[in-house]
Amino acid sequence: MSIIQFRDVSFSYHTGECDFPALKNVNLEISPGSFVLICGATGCGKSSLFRALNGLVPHFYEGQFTGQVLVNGKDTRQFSTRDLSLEVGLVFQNPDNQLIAMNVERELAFGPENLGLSREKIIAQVEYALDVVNIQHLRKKSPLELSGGEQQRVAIASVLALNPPILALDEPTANLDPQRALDILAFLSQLKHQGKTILIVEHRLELVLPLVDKMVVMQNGRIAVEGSVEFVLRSQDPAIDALELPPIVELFKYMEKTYPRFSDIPFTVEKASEILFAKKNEGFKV
Amino acid sequence: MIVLDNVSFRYSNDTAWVLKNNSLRIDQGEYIAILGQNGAGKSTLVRLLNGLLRPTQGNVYINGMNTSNSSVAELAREVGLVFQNPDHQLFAQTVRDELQFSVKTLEWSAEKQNNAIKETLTQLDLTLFSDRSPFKLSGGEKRRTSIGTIWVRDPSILILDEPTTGQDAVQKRNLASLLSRLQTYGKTIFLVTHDIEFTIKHCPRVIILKEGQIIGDGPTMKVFSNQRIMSEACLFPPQIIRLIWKLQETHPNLSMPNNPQEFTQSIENFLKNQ
Ligand SMILES: Nc1ncnc2c1ncn2[C@@H]1O[C@H](COP(=O)(O)OP(=O)(O)OP(=O)(O)O)[C@@H](O)[C@H]1O
Ligand SMILES: Nc1ncnc2c1ncn2[C@@H]1O[C@H](COP(=O)(O)OP(=O)(O)OP(=O)(O)O)[C@@H](O)[C@H]1O
Ligand SMILES: [Mg+2]
Ligand SMILES: [Mg+2]
Repeated sequence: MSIIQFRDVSFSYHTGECDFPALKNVNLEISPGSFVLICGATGCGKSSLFRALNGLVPHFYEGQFTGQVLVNGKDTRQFSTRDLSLEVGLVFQNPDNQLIAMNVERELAFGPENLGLSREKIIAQVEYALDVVNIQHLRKKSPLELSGGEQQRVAIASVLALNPPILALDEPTANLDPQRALDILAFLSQLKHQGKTILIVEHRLELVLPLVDKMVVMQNGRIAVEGSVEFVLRSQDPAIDALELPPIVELFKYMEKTYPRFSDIPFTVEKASEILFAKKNEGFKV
Repeated sequence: MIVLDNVSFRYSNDTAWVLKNNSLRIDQGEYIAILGQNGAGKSTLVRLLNGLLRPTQGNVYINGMNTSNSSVAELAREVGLVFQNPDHQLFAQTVRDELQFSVKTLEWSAEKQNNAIKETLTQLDLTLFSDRSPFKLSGGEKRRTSIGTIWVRDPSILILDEPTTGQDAVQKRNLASLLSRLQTYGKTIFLVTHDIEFTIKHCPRVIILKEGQIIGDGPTMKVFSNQRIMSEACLFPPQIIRLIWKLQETHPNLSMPNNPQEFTQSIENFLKNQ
């Protein structure tokens, strides 16, 4: 059973002058408990796909919507974004658009309060969120006085405070330094192991590839390639050209092309060095 | 030329120092990146360069002008700063208006303005969106628009706060080649970034900032392969450096390539030599 289903979904934004197709005949199935990477060129439709998950598309964005999106069995056209927010927590691409409260603590309490949770429950969720993204020390600060990376973590925490079964994060590490980016990604991977379903748009492939179960590459509103990381990295589809592949992947793609006995595509330094040592020990001749 | 002379900064008297005793000199025509953890003070440092902020102690000189005695307008002719968050930069009805506003304050002929706008739209791959609201663009498109608003003014010092965020590989390559071209025209390019792979490929010099202090400054390969600096600043060295280190553990004769372009060759040598 899939927890998310897109059935032939198309969507065009009304932009005034003309309609702009952002999603074209998208079919996608996501299994519960998986960690899925969505990637592709700028403007290919990644954020639009996420907006379709929690009903922002079509409820808030004007445009033409066809097809069907089912989230935990709920047809997004039939449920309000508030109802859908119980299923999917969406972390927006730009944290600023999300942060509105006086201070971080209030910001995190906002969502749970709106859902009418009990006071104890709200406090517990807020504390949980502050802890997991490591922002206890920022709790009294105004979101406007935070550095870019701090804002990003607050935005992630505000969605975690709702504790939904599905998390969709649109470039959640965009403003984070590498260590913090890795911490967030590792944390998401942990949530996945606790049974959450995670969708992420992420450009830092070197950090995220080792963690994900499935990779979806979009191009011009369509899904161009999807499958396991190895499968996608080997694909000849031109949509792959828009991806910034980690240098190690580039290296091994080159080796594969140049030397017949190279056939692996590792994406971590450890795996790459293992393969190289093994090849060298075999007496590999360049 | 940019000079920081023993610069310290705090946002108010009762808050902690954000920058502590930093001195720095960047010559005209350099292409440089600054890296460091979240909250290290990178964005604060670059806001000191265009006069949005003035040093609490010490002096900042831009092409000889002391920023403490210069107006933001004067400095804006020399220094263009693209903000980390495009929403802080954009406000107009359309992408074209955005660029139009930006050049309006310059004493340029209408023809020069129009040419600059047209060229910027083309170079940043924005022509298709020129009549659209900047707030109805995808994240990457919006960021390119914010770069455009500064780009169009043709400042001699161009500072970009996280310009590669949200850009795909094609746009990054495009940005990289535009920046290199600007550098060949003698512009100073100053990037604030977490994108270590972009930095190693394109920027000859890097500065590492940690908790408001510069702890590393020098040629990029050299700084990035300095384990002490990198771990102190909580940065991971680029993959290629880490892979070479790993191979060196058992093959100490393998040498670090001088630049990323020689990386593949180093690996081939590693496999070849007994
Ligand atoms: N609010 C909007 N109104 C009109 N068109 C829009 C709007 N938002 C996005 N678009 C257009 O829809 C297309 C898909 O945009 P979307 O934001 O989904 O792309 P994306 O893959 O998330 O890109 P990025 O990586 O740059 O964030 C783009 O061509 C974009 O210009
Ligand atoms: N307007 C402000 N008022 C008060 N404090 C601020 C303000 N802007 C930033 N700070 C604080 O100053 C410190 C440095 O912030 P700065 O934005 O310079 O960091 P940064 O290195 O750019 O970080 P990032 O990588 O997250 O963008 C942080 O502790 C931040 O909370
Ligand atoms: Mg997007
Ligand atoms: Mg910053």
